Amino acid sequence: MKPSPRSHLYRLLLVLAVAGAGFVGLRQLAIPDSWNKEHWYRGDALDELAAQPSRFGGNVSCEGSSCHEPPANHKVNYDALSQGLHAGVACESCHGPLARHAADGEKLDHARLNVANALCFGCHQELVARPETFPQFSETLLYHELLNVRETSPCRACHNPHEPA
Amino acid sequence: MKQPETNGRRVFLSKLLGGGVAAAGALMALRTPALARVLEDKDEGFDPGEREYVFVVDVQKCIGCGNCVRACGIENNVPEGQFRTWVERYVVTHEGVHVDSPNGGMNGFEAIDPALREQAINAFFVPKLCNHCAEAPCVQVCPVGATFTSPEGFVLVDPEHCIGCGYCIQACPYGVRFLNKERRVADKCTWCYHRIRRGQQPACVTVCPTGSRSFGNVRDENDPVTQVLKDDQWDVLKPGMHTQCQVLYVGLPRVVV
Repeated sequence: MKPSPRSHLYRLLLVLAVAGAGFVGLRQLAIPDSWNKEHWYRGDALDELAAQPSRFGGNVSCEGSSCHEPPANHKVNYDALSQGLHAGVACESCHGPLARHAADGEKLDHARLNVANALCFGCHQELVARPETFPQFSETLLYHELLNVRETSPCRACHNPHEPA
Repeated sequence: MKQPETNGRRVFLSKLLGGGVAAAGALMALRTPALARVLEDKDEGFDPGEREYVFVVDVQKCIGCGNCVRACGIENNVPEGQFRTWVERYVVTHEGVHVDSPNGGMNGFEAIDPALREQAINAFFVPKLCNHCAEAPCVQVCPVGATFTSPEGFVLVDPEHCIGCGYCIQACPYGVRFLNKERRVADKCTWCYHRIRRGQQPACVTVCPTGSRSFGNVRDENDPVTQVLKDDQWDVLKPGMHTQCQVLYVGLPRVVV
């Protein structure tokens, strides 16, 4: 049989049709289903990002817990803390994140810590950039001078971090 | 004698001139609206009513303890040596400004050199984090739509979609972005988006002992951050960038960049 005189055109059309279908198909595969065309992002990303677990519980997780009762030592500390000069300091600022202490109502590890001077000096070491009104350690403070307190003297010998003065 | 070539050139040149004027006019007409829009944006400034959330940093309250930097690292599994938030120490002298941020301020700060302290005329700490710009350059440059603005105004990175090209890192005027060395994608502060969705505060705000950092909903009349807007004494970093930062700095010395 003699080939059609327009076979080269048919062949070209076929190639174009296959290429077009391939492009549309690949494009369909490449665009995520939840794509937000208006603001140009993958809609599912919002819920995926929101699923990240929280590791810090905030003071509410300590305040509301009944884990330590009785004798509720940590409740006593919490109440003292919330009325003293350290009222603005969150439990987790010193004791670390809730996620390392407890999860799903189970205790994982102690939240107690070794209160060395380094912990106190993290905030109270004298630094020129600190606000002048913020209490900073000085050996020349009246009581420190009277009691011969040095930078190496243990802060906790006199100061209770839950009821500082 | 006929001179068709000369006539042709004259006709061509006059047509070229006419066409050029017409094209320039058309381009100007196209260009004017865009130009006007940019100027309008500049004049209108930042309208807090448009956005739900703002983050407030009170520079005068920061004591440089580093709690925020540590908490952020734990909360968001930030690789060691990289920071979603950090604290800078500024020491201003007549000779110049000294800025340092050892390990992002994560372990606090050592006392400065006594000679420098002698010269210091002002010194303070400045916490830094993503500004969640309403007109974010990082969102504009992302070639795949992995960096985007959420409906609530958070600027977020979709780690599943990010190809790690790094354009956004170069585009950010505030240097808050980095290529996460473990996940190999762009990473930055999310204002703890996952915590906000649960009604919690960002981790850094939770542990800040002096209230230097606060975060809130400006549409809620009772939210403490609304007072900052009423006082109207806030600044943003690099206002000349017109990025419309949503991190508002209170008591920010002008020397800070």
